[in-house]
Amino acid sequence: MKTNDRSKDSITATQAAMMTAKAMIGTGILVLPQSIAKSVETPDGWLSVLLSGILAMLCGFVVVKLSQRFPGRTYYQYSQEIVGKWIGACIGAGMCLYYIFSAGYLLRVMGEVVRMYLLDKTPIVIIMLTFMGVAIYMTTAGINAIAQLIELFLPIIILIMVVFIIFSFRDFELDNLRPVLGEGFAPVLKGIKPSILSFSGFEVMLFVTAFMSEPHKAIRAIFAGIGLTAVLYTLVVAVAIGSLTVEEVQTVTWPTMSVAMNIELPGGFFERFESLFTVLWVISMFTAFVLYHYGGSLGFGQLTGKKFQLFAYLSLPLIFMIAIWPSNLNKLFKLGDYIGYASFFMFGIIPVMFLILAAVRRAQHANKRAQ
Amino acid sequence: MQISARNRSALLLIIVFPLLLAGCWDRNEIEETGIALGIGIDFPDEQEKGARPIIAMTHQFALPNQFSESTSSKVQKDYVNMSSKGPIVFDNIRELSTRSARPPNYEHLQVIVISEKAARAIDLKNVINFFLRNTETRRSIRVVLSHGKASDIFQQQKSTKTPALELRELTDNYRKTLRIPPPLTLGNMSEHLTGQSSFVMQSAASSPEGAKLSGGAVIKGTTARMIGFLSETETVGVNWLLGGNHSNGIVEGVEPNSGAMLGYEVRKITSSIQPIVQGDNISFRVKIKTTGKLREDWAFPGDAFDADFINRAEQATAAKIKQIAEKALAKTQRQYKVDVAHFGKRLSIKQPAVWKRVKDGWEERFSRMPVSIEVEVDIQEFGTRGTKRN
Repeated sequence: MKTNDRSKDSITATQAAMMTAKAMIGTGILVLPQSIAKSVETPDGWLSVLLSGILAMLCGFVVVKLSQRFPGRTYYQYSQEIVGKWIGACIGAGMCLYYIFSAGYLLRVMGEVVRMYLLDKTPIVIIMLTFMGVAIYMTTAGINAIAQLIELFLPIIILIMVVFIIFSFRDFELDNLRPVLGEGFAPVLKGIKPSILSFSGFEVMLFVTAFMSEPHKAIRAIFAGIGLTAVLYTLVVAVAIGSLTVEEVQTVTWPTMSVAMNIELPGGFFERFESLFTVLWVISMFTAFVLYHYGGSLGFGQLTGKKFQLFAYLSLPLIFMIAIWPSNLNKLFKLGDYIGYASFFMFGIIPVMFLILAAVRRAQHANKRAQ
Repeated sequence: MQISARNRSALLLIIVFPLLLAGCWDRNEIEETGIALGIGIDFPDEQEKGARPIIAMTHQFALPNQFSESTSSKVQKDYVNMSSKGPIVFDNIRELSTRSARPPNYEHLQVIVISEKAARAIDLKNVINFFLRNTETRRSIRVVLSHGKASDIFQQQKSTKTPALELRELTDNYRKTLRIPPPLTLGNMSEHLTGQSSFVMQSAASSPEGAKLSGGAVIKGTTARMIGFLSETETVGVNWLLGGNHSNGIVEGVEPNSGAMLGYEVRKITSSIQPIVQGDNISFRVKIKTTGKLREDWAFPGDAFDADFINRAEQATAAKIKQIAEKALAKTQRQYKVDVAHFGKRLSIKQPAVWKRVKDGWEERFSRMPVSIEVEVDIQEFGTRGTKRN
């Protein structure tokens, strides 16, 4: 199995942090401002995002602590040890399915955005198939290759986001973000639900930690990853609301793209920033997709004791079917919501239970040994 | 030279892949697309009774320069206008396909002109809805209102420039004069309309010399319809209330001692609105601060080296600005009952609790609220000649 070969599959703490961030920065960056504005209804949405980031760090802390108890082993392997073979396998399979569904969702959102902004007449199926064709090549290469790809692309993605935020300031009005807490703190709490869902992705650390060459740095890595994402998300939400107003953000489908379409440097020197933005965003989606795809295939591989590459190929039709399943955009967003809820249950609640169980078990073992 | 099997297959792939690249669904030949530069939206007079109202649209397409100098010495027009009619915008565009082989492309659309009649009769949220949904149309397209018919704006008069491009450049001139309101982008317009806030937009009129921007048009946020025009002076007043944006503009004051005229050039305007809440009474205090320079005076000797004279000039200019701003308020606040300078927004920021109580029917309430204006003028310099006598 892959994990036995530690010298080959080892990634640094920086790579782990980048992977955590990259797994989170996916669809959220495009749709988050809208879902936040809808549930918060005051310009304080960015505060909800910041708070959710802190909550995500708490969950991330639990996830890493749990993984660190079982060095060199992934969640799929140690979950069987904590709750027994069958329940553990079921939970592991659930997580695999979660990754497969996430990958399918990501694939479809990518297809929809490309169809809307770049290739209007190209069948969306072709776009998605091409995307998968490239992704499988990446996924089967294993975690080292994925880590290096992300190491290469994440700085570019962050750079383009920063450029986006800077350019948007021409249209940004601070007054649109005011009054701060005009209706008290209650609206901010309402925004936590949609924003915490967009932080799902940090749970890749459940299997990434096992590959880390220095697992004791995992906490730092996950905090860095979540922190980076939280800052980026907060800025994007603030920029979207600041340049479009809360009311307008509620009405647009892809608020971040609308902000990008507002961008225009004086004298027509630089127009159509959104084209550049879409292209780089597809790269961003690609890296996230590969991570999810890998996570799912790795799980199936480890649960059945076979090579993960086999499942990487086998899961492709499933991912594709999930991607073409929602018949329209609204159903697609619904699917995204369900995936978010599932992630909250699987990575917010189960790891806490596991951590407690593992601690209890260890105590029992210690007792037995003492006797 | 020997080519290994591996290299041979790689070579084959390199040859095959470009073939796949060419098979593209979304190929658009530039010669075959009609690049729309301007769109005019009119509300025709001859409406069928009982039926849904129809709108008329004018598309201005760019024509690529043709090499036809030999045929005639006449200046070739580099645009073509096409008009259509239909109940909704999309209908109009589909109608174009029956007449032009080139599918319209809106990626370079510069300006949308909505006629006064259309803006008074139709909900503007619906008029611009198509453009907001369409991904080709950028949110930074300028929107202008027209006195008279929008299609007239796109008729070339004496200028040789394409009218849509000319108009687009004019909209950016708000930096050079106070007589036109700041330009309105499609995105801003939509933001105002969804937020139900009233605003002033640029208005154009056709004249023998071509399109001309004159004054502003007031759109009422709650009804999303035009409510009236502002004269040039009233527009200047609104600009003073809005502050910011303008870096240039002239105010003609009258020096109190001699009754002589003064020309003050604006460098910077900052306007701050202060809501004052006393129980149920809400009033506002507007503080306008401006710095600039003395451009011209018709006084004798008009000694700008003398601080007293500068002081008097500052006061004269301030008095004039105050008068203009009050005129603008009288028109917008009292007559049209709209809040175009965002007094409500200020109140919502400073006193969110009070705002929650009064935000329903805000503009009606606002129209009865007292507003006081204070102006502070700071003349920083007076050019290369200070006085007319030594």
